[in-house]
Amino acid sequence: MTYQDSLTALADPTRRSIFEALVRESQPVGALTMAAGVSRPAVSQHLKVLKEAGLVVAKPMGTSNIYYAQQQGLEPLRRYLDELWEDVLGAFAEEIERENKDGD
Amino acid sequence: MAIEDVVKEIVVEATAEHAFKVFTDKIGAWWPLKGHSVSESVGAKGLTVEIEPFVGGEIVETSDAGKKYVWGRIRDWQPGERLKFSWLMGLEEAEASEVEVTFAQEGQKCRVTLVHRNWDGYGEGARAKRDNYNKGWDLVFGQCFMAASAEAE
Repeated sequence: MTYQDSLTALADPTRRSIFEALVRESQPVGALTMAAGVSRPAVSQHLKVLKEAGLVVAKPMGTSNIYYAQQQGLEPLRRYLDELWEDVLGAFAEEIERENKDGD
Repeated sequence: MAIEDVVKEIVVEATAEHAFKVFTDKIGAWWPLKGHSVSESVGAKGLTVEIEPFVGGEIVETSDAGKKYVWGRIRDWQPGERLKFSWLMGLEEAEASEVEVTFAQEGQKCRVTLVHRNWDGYGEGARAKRDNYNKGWDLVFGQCFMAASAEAE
C-alpha cells in the first residue's frame, strides 16, 4: 500500500465522495448507491478500489456488508508528504549554504 | 483529523530576512523540481516555480511546454517572519491543506519551521460546491499524481 494507491483511489471524484460519505457514517452499499447517484455495480466497483487502497473495510451485518472508512489508509500519503518537505527544506538549506560559500 | 500535521525544522546560517527572501524570491533557484513537480505528471519537465509576493498571490510552476500549474495561494505574507499558503494538491482552495513557514532569528542563524496541516479535505472537509468535485483533482501534486495516473484505468 503506497501513497499512490490512496491518491489513485481518491483521484476519482465519485470515489472520493463515497469515501467522504463513509467517513461521516458507515453504510451499506444500498445507501451509498442512492447518495452517489451512480449504479450499484459502479458503487461496488468503487468500493473495491477503495478497499484495495486500504481506505475502506467491509464488515458483514446480516445478509449484507456495512462499509467503514479506514482513515489510517491515508498514512502512506502523509509519509510521502513528510519526505517531500524534508527534500524541500534540505534543498533550501543547500541553497543558503551555497550562497554563503560564494560570499553572496 | 485523519492525518497528523507534518512538522519540519532546520537551522540555516542566514538572517531571518534573508532566509525568507531565498525561500520566496529565489524559490526557482532551489526547489527540487526533479521529482517534485506537476509537469512530470503529464510527461513534461518543470522549468521553474515562482511565488507571487502578496496575500492572495499564487505559487506557480511553469513547465517546459509553457503550461502553468498553481500549487497554492498565499494566505499570510510577513517578510522575515512568516509565510502561509494553501497547498491545493488538486483540491479547491476552501478544502486545501495549509503550509506555514516561520523564520526565527537565533543569534547569527535562522530557525525555519514548516508545518503542513489541515488535512480535512481528504476525508471530512468543508465541502465546496458539489460541482467542484469534477475539476477538484485535476491538479494533484506532481510525483504522486504521475504515479497515480499511470496506475489508474
